[in-house]
Amino acid sequence: MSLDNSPHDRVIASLEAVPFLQDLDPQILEPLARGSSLRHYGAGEVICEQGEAGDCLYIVEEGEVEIFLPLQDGGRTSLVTLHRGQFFGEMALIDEQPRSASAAARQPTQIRTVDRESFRHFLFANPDAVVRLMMHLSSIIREANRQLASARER
Amino acid sequence: MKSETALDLSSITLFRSIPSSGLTALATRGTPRTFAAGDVLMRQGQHSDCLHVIMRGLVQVERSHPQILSPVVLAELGPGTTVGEMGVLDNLPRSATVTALEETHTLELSATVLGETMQEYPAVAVSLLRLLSKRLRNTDELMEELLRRHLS
Repeated sequence: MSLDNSPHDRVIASLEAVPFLQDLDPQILEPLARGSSLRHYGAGEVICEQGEAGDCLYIVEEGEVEIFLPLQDGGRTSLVTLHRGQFFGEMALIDEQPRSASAAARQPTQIRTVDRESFRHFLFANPDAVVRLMMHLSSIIREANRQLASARER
Repeated sequence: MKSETALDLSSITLFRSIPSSGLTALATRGTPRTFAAGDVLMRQGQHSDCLHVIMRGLVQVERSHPQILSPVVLAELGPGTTVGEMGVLDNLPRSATVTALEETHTLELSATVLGETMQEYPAVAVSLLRLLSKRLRNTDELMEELLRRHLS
């Protein structure tokens, strides 16, 4: 993992690629940009682990991230693969509970992080973005419930 | 009756950030509803136009699937929680059926009232977001449990 400093416009462009941040006044994104940094991960490198406290939101800028549940025998069950413009890690920031799953880079990957405080301030100041984030969570819950109900039949 | 509802609302986490004048307005704009044990608050697949804030009582959230006979119980929810917020947010049909397990009192809020409340008090939106996040965790935990049982 390493850090670097990106040009400001690139930071904003990266944030604007995230669905719940689209079509907002770029000025609104400023505080998020200030609370953000870029991290690089090699293939296979773990980004965060289930059970950890969450201190930031992760946005995939480049590469591919696998979200998975670690199994007791050392294996893992893959939940989803995320690509450019997709984000993860929002739940631990929202409800202040430990990370619900682990994440690892599947190939060389660039991640933009937004720290907890900047993210929370942003949410309180932007109800529209909060509603979009809720719609995002709703769609995940719907899908998970669907899978859950059909998994029970097996 | 109305002021009693406003008082009840102040103890609901979701509305903690709203000043008492706002709570009175909210109590006036919502509809108090009472359900007997066994009554259905909402049915999976139905059109969504409102959410219920549970003031007193207990409800069961379950989802049925065409290939299984008995529905899967997703959660039991009590005072301070909401049901039906997902349909109001994404305007899709109800994702689950909610049934009262005992006498249950709710405040029914329309999508419009909820939207206006969130605009006026952004902290309400953040609280609702937190509630959704918790709900997703419950679903994830059920899923994980099922998965581990399936694999072992």
